[in-house]
Amino acid sequence: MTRYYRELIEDAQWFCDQADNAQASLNQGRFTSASILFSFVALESFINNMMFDFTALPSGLLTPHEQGFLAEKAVELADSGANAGKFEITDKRRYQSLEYKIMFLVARFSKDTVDKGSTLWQRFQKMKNVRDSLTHPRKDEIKVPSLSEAEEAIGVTKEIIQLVSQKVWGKKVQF
Amino acid sequence: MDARLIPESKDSLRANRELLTKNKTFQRMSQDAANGREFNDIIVEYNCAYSPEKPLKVWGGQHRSKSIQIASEKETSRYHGFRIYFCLTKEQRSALALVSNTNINVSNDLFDRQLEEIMVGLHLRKWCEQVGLLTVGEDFPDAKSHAERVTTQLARTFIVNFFLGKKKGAEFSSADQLLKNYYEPYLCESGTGTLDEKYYDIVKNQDSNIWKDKGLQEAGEAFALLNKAQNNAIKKSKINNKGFRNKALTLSVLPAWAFVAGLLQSHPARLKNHLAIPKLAKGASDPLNAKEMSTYKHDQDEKTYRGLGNRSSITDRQRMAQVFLARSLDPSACFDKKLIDKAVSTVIGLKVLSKGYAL
Repeated sequence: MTRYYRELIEDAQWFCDQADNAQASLNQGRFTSASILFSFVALESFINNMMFDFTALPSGLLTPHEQGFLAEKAVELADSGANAGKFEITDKRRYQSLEYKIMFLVARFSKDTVDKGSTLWQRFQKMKNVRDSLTHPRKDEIKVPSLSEAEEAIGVTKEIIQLVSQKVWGKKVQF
Repeated sequence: MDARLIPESKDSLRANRELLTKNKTFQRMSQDAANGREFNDIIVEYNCAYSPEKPLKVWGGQHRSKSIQIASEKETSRYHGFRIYFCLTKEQRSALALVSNTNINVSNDLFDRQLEEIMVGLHLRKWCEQVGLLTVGEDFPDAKSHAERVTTQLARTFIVNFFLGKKKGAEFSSADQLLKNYYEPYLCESGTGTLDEKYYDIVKNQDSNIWKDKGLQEAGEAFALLNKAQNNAIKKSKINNKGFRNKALTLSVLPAWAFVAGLLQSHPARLKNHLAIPKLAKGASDPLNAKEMSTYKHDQDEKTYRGLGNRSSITDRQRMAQVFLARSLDPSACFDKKLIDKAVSTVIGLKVLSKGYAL
């Protein structure tokens, strides 16, 4: 069964609560790490599902580059066949960064753009760096995330979800 | 109107049921009162033991009394009929209160059925018999909850949506354009005491040939078969519940199906697909795959969302129309998760684009 951002945020909160109960023990770091990862999985799930909605649109409403970006596939100029000389979406994967996806969705489907100078965006970048340090660990940068960082990750991912939901769908979502 | 059972006791509170001021019947009643309608048989007790400034205590007809009160504030003045009781004993008062508050809840379906017969005649019922939505001699149910068959509201909704869809479909010259729009199937009003406006627009001309419209007839027959197939399939399945059995008759599935049947009138190949009973999705026991629909949820939906095709909301009707439209693309398509996901995403994407925000 598909797990949605709501359940994933609940998972993040559950690990955060466990971390709080574990206090200063070794387990606390395990729980805070899991909580931060789940917060970002929730955000990625929300953003990817929103991208999927737009990939389902009938052809002709978005450009091939927009469609390629949304489907995270490479767009290349066809050099043969009926589409020769036209851009077309290939089967090659082109993963996009989370920031790019958020910026694109807001810029393309709302009246606005993401304010990268805002406090929220700065907080998001900071927590994303913490997440990246967990998913791409380096021995010279190993750091166990604190309880307050786990709490901040939940808060900031929820706020980003609300921001994108309000900009694109014109409505808030429920957690 | 705050009549008490024990007048001499300050602890005795208002005994009547609550006023239902948001009820459509009450609103209609208020409108009638404002227009000078006469009301009769309002049951009151003459009693000055409490609130002596208002000696008539209302036991039966508090909604009518409230309507009169509102109308009199707007300077509508006329005589009304009262039945006034004097010197009641406690037992007599209690009996009067009980009788006056015994409310036989008349369902909207009964209102609709009666109104249909008075205002339109038997055309709708006869049409339902012809296409197989009702058996010969069977009437629309007086309460949907007790009967698993099409109600007056649903039958009207079918007719209206078929013609709304047909009109919309005629606006598109190519099948390509069908996909670039999302649609708003209509749900006829019920229990309002007046005929739904859109339905009335279609049936008001008694010489109209709508009841003989071949496309409508064909759609009605196909829908009746789908409803039957769904019902039979669920009866034989492990989960034989009423909601699944009557999936085709929900307030979002039926309008959407009828709208798409109308929409595809000028696209015969796709219409053929739509009218055919869909093949079963993998693991499903019924053509509409009610279980899959019941567990469906989009990120936009509230926590309490009960799945696709369960509610009468416009959102659900729009989504269901897209689901049927997507299925009509391919004769082998079935209502599986992939088709449902894509159809709902399409509606959501199209709605975002229609806001006009896009750069």
